[in-house]
Amino acid sequence: MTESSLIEVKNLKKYYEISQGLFKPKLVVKAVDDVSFSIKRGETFALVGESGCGKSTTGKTLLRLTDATSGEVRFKGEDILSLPYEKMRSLRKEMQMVFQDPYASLNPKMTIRQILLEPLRVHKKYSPEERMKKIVDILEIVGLSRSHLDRHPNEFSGGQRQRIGIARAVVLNPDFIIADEPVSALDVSVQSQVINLMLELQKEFGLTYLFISHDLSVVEHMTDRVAVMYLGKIVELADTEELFANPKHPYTQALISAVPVSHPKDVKERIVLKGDVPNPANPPSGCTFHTRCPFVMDKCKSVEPSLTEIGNGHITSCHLYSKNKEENINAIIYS
Amino acid sequence: METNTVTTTNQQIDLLVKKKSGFKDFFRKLSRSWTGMLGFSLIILLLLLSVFGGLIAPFDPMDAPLRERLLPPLTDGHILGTDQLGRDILSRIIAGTKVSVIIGLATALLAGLIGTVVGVIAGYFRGWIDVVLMRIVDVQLSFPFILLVLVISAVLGAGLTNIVISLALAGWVVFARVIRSEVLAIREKEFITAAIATGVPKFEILFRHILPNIFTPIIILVSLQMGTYIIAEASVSFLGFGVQPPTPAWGNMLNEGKDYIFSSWWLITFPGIAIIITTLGVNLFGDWLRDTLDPELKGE
Amino acid sequence: MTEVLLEIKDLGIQFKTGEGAIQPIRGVNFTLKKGETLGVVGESGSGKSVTSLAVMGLLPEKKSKIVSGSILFNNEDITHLNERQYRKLRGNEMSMIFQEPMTSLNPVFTIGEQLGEPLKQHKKMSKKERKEAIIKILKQVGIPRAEQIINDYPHQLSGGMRQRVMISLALLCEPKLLICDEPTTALDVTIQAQILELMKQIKAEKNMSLLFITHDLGVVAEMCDRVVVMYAGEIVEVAEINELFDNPLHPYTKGLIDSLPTNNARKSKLYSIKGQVPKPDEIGKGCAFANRCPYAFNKCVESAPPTFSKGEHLSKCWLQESDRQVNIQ
Repeated sequence: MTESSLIEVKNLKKYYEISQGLFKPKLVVKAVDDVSFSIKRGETFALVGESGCGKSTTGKTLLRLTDATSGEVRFKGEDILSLPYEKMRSLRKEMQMVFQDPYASLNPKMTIRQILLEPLRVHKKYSPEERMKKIVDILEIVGLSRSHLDRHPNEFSGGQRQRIGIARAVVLNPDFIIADEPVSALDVSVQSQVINLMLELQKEFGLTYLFISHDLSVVEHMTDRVAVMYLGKIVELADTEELFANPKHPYTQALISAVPVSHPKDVKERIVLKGDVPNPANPPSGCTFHTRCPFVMDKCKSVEPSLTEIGNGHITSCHLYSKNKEENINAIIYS
Repeated sequence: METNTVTTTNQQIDLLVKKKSGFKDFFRKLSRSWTGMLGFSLIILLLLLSVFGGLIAPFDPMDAPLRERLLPPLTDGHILGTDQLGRDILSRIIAGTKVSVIIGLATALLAGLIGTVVGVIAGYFRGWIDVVLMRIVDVQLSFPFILLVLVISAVLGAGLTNIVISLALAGWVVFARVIRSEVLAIREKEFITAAIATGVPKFEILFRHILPNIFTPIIILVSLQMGTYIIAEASVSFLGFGVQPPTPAWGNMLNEGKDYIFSSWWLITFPGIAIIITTLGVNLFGDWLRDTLDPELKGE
Repeated sequence: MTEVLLEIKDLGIQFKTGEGAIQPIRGVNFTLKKGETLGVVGESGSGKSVTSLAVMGLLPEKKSKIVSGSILFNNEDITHLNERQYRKLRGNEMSMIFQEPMTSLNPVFTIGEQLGEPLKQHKKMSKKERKEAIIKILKQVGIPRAEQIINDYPHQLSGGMRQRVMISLALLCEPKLLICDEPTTALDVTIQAQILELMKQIKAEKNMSLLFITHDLGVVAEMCDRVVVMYAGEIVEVAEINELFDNPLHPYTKGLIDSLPTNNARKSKLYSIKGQVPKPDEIGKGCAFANRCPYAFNKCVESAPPTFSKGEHLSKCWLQESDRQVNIQ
């Protein structure tokens, strides 16, 4: 862990218990299972994966919007998972969130003025006059104007609402923003506007982003490092360019190959995975991907691979690349 | 399958229509529904009668010239006839409007207040307090409503204030149930998560984010429950526990008239019609309000 | 020349709203040939879904009205059919797959019961024959354990499986026309790849015509032979798929293609179309795209462009007027 990292996540776990009835044992769903990564100041770190892989839960746990089962989240060196309520509340001015659904994430009964003033008010930042100036400034930065202040969210289009959501997150001048699928609910022509806005804001305010997305082309365009998640675990982590040029884990390879082409003449070598994502309440043994993996070996079914570095910060958890001799030996014994 | 598509398109069409608010919009929407219009007109009539009734009543509702007792309708200027004490029935019905309106409105507001507070506490804080409050609600809901009203008013004694209190004490559970489930639904909305992420303190989330969003169901429920309370008041008064004679109330008019049901039908018929029309008006308006403000509840 | 299965001529659809009527579909023209996959691309509010619902006769009756034009299916105008005549057509001659497989399946019936319904309606079959037909079609769409799945309820299946069931439901009576309204938008990428693969394969086997509605240009590039681009209730461009990507004639199409992240250098500012889609009541007399168009000139604001053709390539843009013929590359 380098000194420049803004947030460090260590062995984060989030388990849900599902009760199945009075006399049956509780089912444990490992939504986030032993996830570790760190995000450097000023970078955009992506969490990618399909629905149910735990990427959004990871994001919410980081901000304590849901309670972690165990693990550590260090923000500027301080473990925030154990902070008391009032301290955590006050720390929220430094870490903000942009949500996926711009229709659900703005209170329909509030005006834009109320929505944007609220963060400043609850954190007692600035005097009332300065607050007004500040929200008008931010509204202009995100491409809206003063005349929108007294309108309600339902008078705006999806793209405009997402701009309001971004303005709400940025108005406190936070260091860190978690963006959970910020453009996937938007129209194509509006998506690029919002991505541009996020890139601009990053430059202007020196923001650090955790960008959660399933859209790989957007991830490739705007992030610095990527972690790929599958069934609650990180299966591969690398610099963005490295990951897209040289994906190692078979799941990452399949994921990248599944992205639709950008021109009809592009012919893609497509790896079409068999079957569906397994039920997270009953994950497969060994490597959880083995049920769909085109390169499955015997030991994948029984031994869980660990994350191994395969050069220059590129890590993956797959037996194809495991160097650990001991593990190899164990694998042979078990299989 | 097909119905689903049609609803999505309907929603899309609704989205295309610019939303307007205010009174103009209210009347525009009201004018499209004849049931809503009828309900609204009846309520306005009721309110006017309860305020200005004294001015248009042909006789003093308390004046009892015994010589003119049990006059049938349309005799000597008594349009709806007179009762066993010679009091003008029309004037008494008009005067009774005031009692019904006051009781319906006051009870609905009081029950709504208690129920909302309980429902919000249970729904927002969850945990043991939710369990305790909801079990109380369950127990109370297993008693017949009217029986409970009678028991409470028997303890409190008769009188306008006491009947309002006993109706509200018996009726708040309905509000508590509905409001709790509304709060539970709102709690899970993403804008609440967004408020937590912003760092809004717990109580501010409750007052600024949750309460404004359950205002609509509260209004709808108040209007729908009013009808129930007006009938309940009439029933209780009919049984002699409610508003005491000689104060004119529709319930005790029925009570007093029941002995003459075979000889002088008008004693019991006209107050009965008044109750029916009032409840109908309140319910029609409440139904329309629900359908307009909360289209998802339609048909329930 | 191949036979035409579906022809839409000058279609206009009006919606009644509280403040009067709006017309979200204006003068839509296109043809779908037999065995062809035609993509309909557009953003929300472009009218692509409304057009498809009109073809299926599923427009909400009280609120909407076809005010002009005709829809010819097998050379027969179907805009005047009544509900009973339409019911014979739907599910039998034409079917539709929706974006949300969960809401399109009835939660209280098993998969087998839902799949049996159209067979009961349109085909004379014994109970046993029906069951066999259902299992066969479920296997065709790649559902494992089909014999058990027919006794399952929709919520017991994953999103990808549900969409497969929807596809099998649509295919049951071997329709000539299959309308797919954003069939993979709600699915994950790896599942989307599976479903697209499946649809290509089925289409090749059954020689159906596909009307493929989507906002995703990548999916269009993979699936379609020809593309119709819609904007604000109008068709702005029609072209063969390669021609559309290589040589878009309408600035809107070009903007859409250019704003794909893969067509921009990493970390650079993405090309983007400024502004947003106008609401139906905001469209003036000129071109609906004029206020967002980087090439707009006076004429664009003054009057709406007609359709110009360059061979098979049609576009509705003043830049393509014969004396102008601007290349926007």
